[in-house]
Amino acid sequence: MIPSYYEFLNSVKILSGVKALENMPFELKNLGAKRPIVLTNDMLVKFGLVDIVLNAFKESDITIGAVFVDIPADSSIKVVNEIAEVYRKNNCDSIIAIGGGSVIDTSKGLGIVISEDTEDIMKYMGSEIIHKRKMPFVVVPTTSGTGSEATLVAVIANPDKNVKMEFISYNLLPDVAVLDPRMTISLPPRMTASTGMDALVHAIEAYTCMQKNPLSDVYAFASIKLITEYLPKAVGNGKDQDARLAMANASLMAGAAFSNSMVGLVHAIGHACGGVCHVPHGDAMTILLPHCMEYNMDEMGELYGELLLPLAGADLYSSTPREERPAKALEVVKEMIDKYNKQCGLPKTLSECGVKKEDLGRIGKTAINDGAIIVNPKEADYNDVLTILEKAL
Amino acid sequence: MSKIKGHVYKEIKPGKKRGKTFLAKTVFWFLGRGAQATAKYDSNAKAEVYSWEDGMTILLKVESNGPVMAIGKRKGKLLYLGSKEITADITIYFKNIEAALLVLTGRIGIAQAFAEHRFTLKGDIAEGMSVVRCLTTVEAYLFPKFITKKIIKRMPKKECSSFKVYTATLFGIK
Repeated sequence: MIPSYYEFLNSVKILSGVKALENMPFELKNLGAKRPIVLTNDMLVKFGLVDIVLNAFKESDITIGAVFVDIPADSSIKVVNEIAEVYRKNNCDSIIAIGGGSVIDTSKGLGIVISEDTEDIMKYMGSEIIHKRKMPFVVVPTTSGTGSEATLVAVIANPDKNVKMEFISYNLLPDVAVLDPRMTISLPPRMTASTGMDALVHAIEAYTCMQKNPLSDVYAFASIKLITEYLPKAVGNGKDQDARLAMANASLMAGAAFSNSMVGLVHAIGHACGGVCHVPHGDAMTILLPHCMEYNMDEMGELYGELLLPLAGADLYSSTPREERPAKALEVVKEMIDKYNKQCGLPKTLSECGVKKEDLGRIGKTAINDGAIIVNPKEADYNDVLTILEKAL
Repeated sequence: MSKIKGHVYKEIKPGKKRGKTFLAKTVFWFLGRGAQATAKYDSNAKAEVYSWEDGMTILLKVESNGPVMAIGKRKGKLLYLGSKEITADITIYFKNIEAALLVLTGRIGIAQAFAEHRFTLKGDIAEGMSVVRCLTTVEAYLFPKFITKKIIKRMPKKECSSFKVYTATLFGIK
């Protein structure tokens, strides 16, 4: 069914495949850039991934203006302002982000600060109030993943006020996303599984939330199909370049889906788990997905049933009676989580991640104030969230 | 106006939608005073307001120069602050009068309006969610059942009659 109204934008140019990185100078030139700043973290420098990207600029006309490597695990406003000073002093005119969600969000924050010429990024908190981006912006994701290379969202912490600031704007979308299998080849199995499950949750929630539309559905569906086929291969053999590239594509597609369709209850509670108890995002998604699916089943069961096709394949889908498909989809998801739990220790409960019963109240209060909860088709109040958390503990 | 190769090109200034603007202004008046009344009688609305910092101001506005409604927490109470634009902590900008009226006349709820990108929000989205919950409770009292069952995901339990809230709305009881 077509929604009565929707909006869709995916303006990111995607370069995917063999030697994709080496096309970056051409793309930057097309965008009028000459001196990009490179943003990354020191772990990626240690793994040699940053060198691979920098080598892609040999024999080109592009000079790297500066390389900033001190981006922490959580994006922060202090780091954004520090980078802005480096950007200005080195006369940079564009941004290249190499990394996962934190690096990409920090880069988006830099884009806001420079474009709006401000030192107070808090003035731009909110939804669709950032009206410009002045510089070209390229993202090279190194996880598969957050999908941030194709989303209009950035979350940046304000450590002084101990809050996470959310920014939503089409002007945060990068110009180019570069999916090169070399960037995820060294991701360990556990991280591969965790980030892969994050992408799966993005796709499932994008397909089932209130903002869903025919275009985001296509991205979500295709993403789930790739994840179920290639995540086991990528976890089992990290050197499988085809699997790595497929997962990079799946993650981007899931990002594009949820960028245009939002996420829901799993993310609302998952963000809160991360904010209150520092549960890694991918782990929180894995733990919460089956419980939230159970909670949502009476409202969204039919949509979960449709997802049995990409989750389990045509044979199981067609042999499962229609009314049994929602439950079967949930069963398939639980089997997937069990498999990665046995294979690489992906957690199944919040207590495995250090969450205690006395933390649940604070997590619940935070979760109900997450923007994602508003577009979950089924209402979830504090008590509902608490019930889900208790089951997930 | 310009004339090029015999063709005359006149500029077209934006027209007005006076009837719709008046309707939005009227509903904003009811909504603002209704919020003030609901927060007096309903414990859920009261709890949301309790969680806000004193002095917090919320503005609803219709772009580009449309009607405005301001409410805010002052000395522990939620008060209607009038129809002039003031500096606010949370501002909800309806993108146009048509988008505003979809919500203000109960054709779609606030959650669906957000999903359909009918408004932008300036401020902390987390605080915005508390405001949305409060306004949803207000809608539950001000709109009749045949509207609320379509636009509110889960109808909150009303703690007094809508008549009481309407009376307080009309007489500006704080």
